[in-house]
Amino acid sequence: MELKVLRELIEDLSRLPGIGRKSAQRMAYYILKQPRSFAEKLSRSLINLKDGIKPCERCFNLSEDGVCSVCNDEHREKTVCVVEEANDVAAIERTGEFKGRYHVLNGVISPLNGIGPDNLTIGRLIERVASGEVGDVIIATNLTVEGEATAMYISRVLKARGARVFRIAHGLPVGGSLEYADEATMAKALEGRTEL
Amino acid sequence: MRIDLNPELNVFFGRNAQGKTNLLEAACGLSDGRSFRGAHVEDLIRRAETDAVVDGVFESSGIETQLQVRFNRTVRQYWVNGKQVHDVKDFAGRLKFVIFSAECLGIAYGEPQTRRDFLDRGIFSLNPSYLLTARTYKQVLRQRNELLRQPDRDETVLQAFTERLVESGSRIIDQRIRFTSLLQECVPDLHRAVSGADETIELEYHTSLGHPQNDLTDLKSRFHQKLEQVRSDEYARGSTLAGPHRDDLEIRLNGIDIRLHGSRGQRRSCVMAMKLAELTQIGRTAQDPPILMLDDIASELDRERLVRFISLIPDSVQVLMTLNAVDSDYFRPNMDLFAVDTGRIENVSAALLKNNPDVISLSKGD
Repeated sequence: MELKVLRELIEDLSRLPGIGRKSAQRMAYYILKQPRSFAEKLSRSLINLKDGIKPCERCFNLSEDGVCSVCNDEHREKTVCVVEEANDVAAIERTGEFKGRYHVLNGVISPLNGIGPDNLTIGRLIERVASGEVGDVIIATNLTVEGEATAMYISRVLKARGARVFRIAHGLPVGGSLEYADEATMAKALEGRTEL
Repeated sequence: MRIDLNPELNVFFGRNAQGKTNLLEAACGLSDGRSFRGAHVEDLIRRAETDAVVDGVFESSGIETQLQVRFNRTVRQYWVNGKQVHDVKDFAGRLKFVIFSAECLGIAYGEPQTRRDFLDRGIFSLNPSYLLTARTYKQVLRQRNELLRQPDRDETVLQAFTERLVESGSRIIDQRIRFTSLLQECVPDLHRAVSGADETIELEYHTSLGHPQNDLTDLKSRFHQKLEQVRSDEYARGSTLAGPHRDDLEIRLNGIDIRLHGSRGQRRSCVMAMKLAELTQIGRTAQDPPILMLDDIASELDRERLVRFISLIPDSVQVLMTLNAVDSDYFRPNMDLFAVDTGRIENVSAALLKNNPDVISLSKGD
């Protein structure tokens, strides 16, 4: 029988993505064995994370002081890449290939989960486009049913307001072999062919 | 428990509820990670235990592949050649099989869903990535139906999901039409051989989109048109009223729809011929013929028809068959016989053949 405080921590930890009950148990017992300073530092870090980070008021990317580092960067181009979550920004930034700015939707349209356009930051995106601060829009939502439908929705509302809207290309991975491509990927790759 | 299978015929016999069907279900689980009865593989876990592993090695074109499904009541893991794969789509379809169980007879008279499942399973065997298309369609359909039930829905959102519906749904219809014509190539001859009657079977995919040309662009525009037509009904009923989830496969014998008017015998012959056609076409397209699983069909089919059916299975097809009692009418020269009793399986080929030397001569006779 586990003690109440231990059980509580295990339950909290096992809510984290990718953490099952067993891993949560190991973590909890590990923390218990560490000096008090470890637990203090960890809990401080957690609180700092919640208090110190707020959404960027322009693009909803993570920021420390209201406007994120990308929006603050004057050398960025006017093209805006629309992504589902802030960690998608981090993924694209890691590649260093994109010189524009971002717009984080904070999710995708999903009627089953009761999420419509109004629950996302799409209204703010429309304002950004209307204000003229945005050039071309590239939609980089995931290739799921909801991600694709959201991309379709955004393109319709933005095109109606005169924006040029693009969808990121999808198809074969670089270095990939045709032999292993599934039918859906192959169809997409052929559809998105480019002239040489 | 480990069983070495005969490359041709394997017969598992025993009384009911001894585990014969579970054995075939375990084998099917290696093909698609599911069970053929639509039940979940989790149901295969023995009552007192929490985990189970199905492990199988199969050979295709001289290459051995080891497949494993490990599961407990909440998690299912797939392993190929000792490496874990994280999506069932990278696992499913390596091992191909055709299943024929007593329930399959419902193809001739049951709900349209039974016939759509028959087509989908066959297409999946030929083209495992069909699973992804089917999965996508199912998800769009759920989202779109939910949206149709919301009185304050955004029309542009509905259009976006409609676009996705048409995209994946047209692919499904296209694949089903093609697979139906593939079956039609060989089903009439097989049907005459199984039924012994001079009747002509015809299969035709019936879609609510009319008679599309076999062309994806044409299908998509018809699909859009149809949804436009039924729009007010969809709003009223809160559900998607056109698409592959409402289609059916027509089975006609001499021009007469056997789903409505066939006799018991006619329906059985049709299903048997369709199963043989599936086996033939998958064997032709894939590098190796699929494995044929015959689950308890002797209890449903008359002996004469069944003997003809079995004689039509090519020797190159590996067969796993369950029977309630040993019946040498179905035997072949190269086979193994397994006794199944309270979950235990024993190869009794040697013992049985010794006691009954007629078995071999009998099977050679036909």
